[in-house]
Amino acid sequence: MKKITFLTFILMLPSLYLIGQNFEFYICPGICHSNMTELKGFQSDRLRAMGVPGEITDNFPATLCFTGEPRLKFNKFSVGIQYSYASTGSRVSYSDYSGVLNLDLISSSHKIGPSLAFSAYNFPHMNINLDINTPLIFTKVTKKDYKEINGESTSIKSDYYSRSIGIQPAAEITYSLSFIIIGLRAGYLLDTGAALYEKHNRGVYLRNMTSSIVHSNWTGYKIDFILGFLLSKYK
Amino acid sequence: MRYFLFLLGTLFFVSCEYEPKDNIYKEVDKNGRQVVTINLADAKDTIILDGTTYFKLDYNLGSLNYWYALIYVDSLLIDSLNYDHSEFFTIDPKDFDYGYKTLKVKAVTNSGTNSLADLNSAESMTTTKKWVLGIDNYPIATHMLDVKAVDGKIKFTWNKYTRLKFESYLIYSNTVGVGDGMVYLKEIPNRGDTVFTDDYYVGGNTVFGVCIKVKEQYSPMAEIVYLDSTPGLYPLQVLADNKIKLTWSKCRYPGNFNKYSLSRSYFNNADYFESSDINDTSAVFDNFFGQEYFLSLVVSSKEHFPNWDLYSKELTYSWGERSNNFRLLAFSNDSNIYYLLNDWGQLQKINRADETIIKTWENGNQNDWSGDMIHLDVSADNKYVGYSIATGLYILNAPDLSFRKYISYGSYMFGSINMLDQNLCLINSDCQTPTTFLYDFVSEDTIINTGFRNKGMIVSKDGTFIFDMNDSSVYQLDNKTLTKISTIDGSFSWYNFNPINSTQLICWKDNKLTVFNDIHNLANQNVYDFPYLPGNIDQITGRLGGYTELETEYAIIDINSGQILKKIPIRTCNCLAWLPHYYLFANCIYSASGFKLRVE
Repeated sequence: MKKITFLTFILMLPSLYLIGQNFEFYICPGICHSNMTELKGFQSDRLRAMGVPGEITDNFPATLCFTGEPRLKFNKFSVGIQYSYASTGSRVSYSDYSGVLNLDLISSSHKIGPSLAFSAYNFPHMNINLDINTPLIFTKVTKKDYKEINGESTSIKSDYYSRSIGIQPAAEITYSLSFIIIGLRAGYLLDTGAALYEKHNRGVYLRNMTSSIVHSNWTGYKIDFILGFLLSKYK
Repeated sequence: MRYFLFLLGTLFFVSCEYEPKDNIYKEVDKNGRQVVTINLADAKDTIILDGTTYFKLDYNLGSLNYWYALIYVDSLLIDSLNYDHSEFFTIDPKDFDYGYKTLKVKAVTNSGTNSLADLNSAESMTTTKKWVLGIDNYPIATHMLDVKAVDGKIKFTWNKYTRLKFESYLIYSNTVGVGDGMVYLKEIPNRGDTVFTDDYYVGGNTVFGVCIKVKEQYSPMAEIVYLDSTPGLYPLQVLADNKIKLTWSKCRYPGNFNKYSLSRSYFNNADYFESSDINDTSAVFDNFFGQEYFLSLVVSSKEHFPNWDLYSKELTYSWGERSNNFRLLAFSNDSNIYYLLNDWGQLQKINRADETIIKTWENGNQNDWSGDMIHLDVSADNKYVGYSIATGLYILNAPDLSFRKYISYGSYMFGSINMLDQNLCLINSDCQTPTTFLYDFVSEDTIINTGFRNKGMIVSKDGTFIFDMNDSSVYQLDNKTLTKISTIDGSFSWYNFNPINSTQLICWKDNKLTVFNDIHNLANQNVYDFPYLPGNIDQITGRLGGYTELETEYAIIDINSGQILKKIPIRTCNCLAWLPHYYLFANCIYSASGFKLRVE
């Protein structure tokens, strides 16, 4: 996954030298929250099967996410490529005097896709845009089981992957200060979801207690703080 | 600047994977465990093993799960009962040293706390129970400590038996040479009672033993030996009047003393000495000469081996040097000398007064003495002694027993010899060409040859009269002429002239003893009826003797009265069976065995 990330940014570099339009680059730390319905159910199943009175201490909370977007600005709209990264997770936990049992799922996604933003209102130094993004979502779910009993610990880790497509409408408001752009964006991602499988064994899926295949699903809201840079301005 | 911010932002979000957090901790009551009990079925606190023993575990686990049990003897793990709920294990005491051990059973179950470890079969609860296990590979022998004589008895001690199982001590003893082995004396049930006093010991080499008894098993016997060599025999004392006195030390153990018994070899019970008096420690016997004989002193007990001689001491004694088997005996006419001829062809000349050997003559020709010695005689003038064998006649000079002459018969025949005087002998031959002739062995001249005789003849000591069995007639010999005097009818077994009174003929005729007091007048006779068959008679001096058919008795008879003066038991000996000669001389009788008895 890191290769894709790296490649993405390498490809984005030439955009810095586009001629004739304003080129902006946004870095957007934000908060996103995803439903993860089936993964939550997976954890619930594990809690029931634990045999000890554990709890789900962490259940795919809203987490920081990061988005990077180079954007080419036209008069009424702008286009760009949006890349965002999000990671969340869940834990089923139990511990007593004799040991610790943690059943973790860590879910990470890389989303990359084109974005199209429409200028709804233009004010001096302030814009209100409506944009839409259709990313390809690359998901990785790490299942990590940690058991420690009487001082002896074992840890079993396995990774599952999925690829899905999403669509994310959003509204943003920005304010320009010289070459810096700050703003706020709120959006909602709709993920088609996809089955999670082992990387080197595509026929092996992550299954729940009923043997149904578990799917990833990043559907949920997202709020970004926009920090942009006007990289080139032609008058 | 722009580019820097751009790259910074890139690096920031590339490395930020979410880490789930938070844990919950639940308090679990460890003390809420259930109590598990284990036990051995039918076990006591102390378990004594005297053989392979099977144990059965009884479990009470409640709701806990049984995992396994570990069985220890001391710190040694001897068995592991896995979770198939095995309940049985065995212990063989032979696998362990004797003594007390700890039997420990450790049962392992889950803890029952429902903790994480418990539910993962990683937490266990152990319940341990212990018993005292006694290993007793019994029984082994104890050790004897000491044995000594105390107050006239034998007291011995042994080590107290300390093994776990004990029933009793068994006491045994055995005197060497007596009975068929160890004799049981007593059972002692008290472990601490390790002293025993033997009331039955009277002497000898005795083994005392102690066995440990446990149920039907007995340990090897621990033994200790005690030897008391008393009573001991002191040297014989030769008393006057041909008696000997034997003394011995007193038996030290009066408790079970029965009697002393003293015996001499070659004598019958008439010479036996017995006394129940423990202080009676001497015996006097008639002395006798001849070959060695054994004196045995025996101590016997009242109890335990009353029919056995507990032990005996022996000594050998010989008075004079006599061959054990002499064949022939002859006296000189003055009774001062007698001659013995033994199996090895030795002729001994003996002084009768002190029984000293004056001279011995060895016949170097072995063939001449082996088995066929017939007769021994001394001439009336004491100058010559001769003896006949199957094939000839030896003549020796009586004074020094030097060889004078050997007269061959010419062929194998039996003969007898009567030495008359000087150089004359009468030879009877009753074999192939039986003949009798009077022979002068100096001139080698046959004086008289009577011709064929198939029965014997005998001549009186003075050479005057001859009794010829062939015609039962008495002849008078005068200057080489035989003149018949009388004829005696009857069936004769033996006959002889009185060596002192040549006119008196004594014979066993018609199964009666007949004494013809004067051969010239046969009517002058005494006839005696004796209840036994007669033996043989050679020389008569006032009295004669005969032996019974069983050859077990001699009888000394007064020929003048026909009265039996003494009966003499004869101990069996080879020479008696061979040639049952005996000789009367004065008041002593010499049997062919060489024993001398005093005639009363």
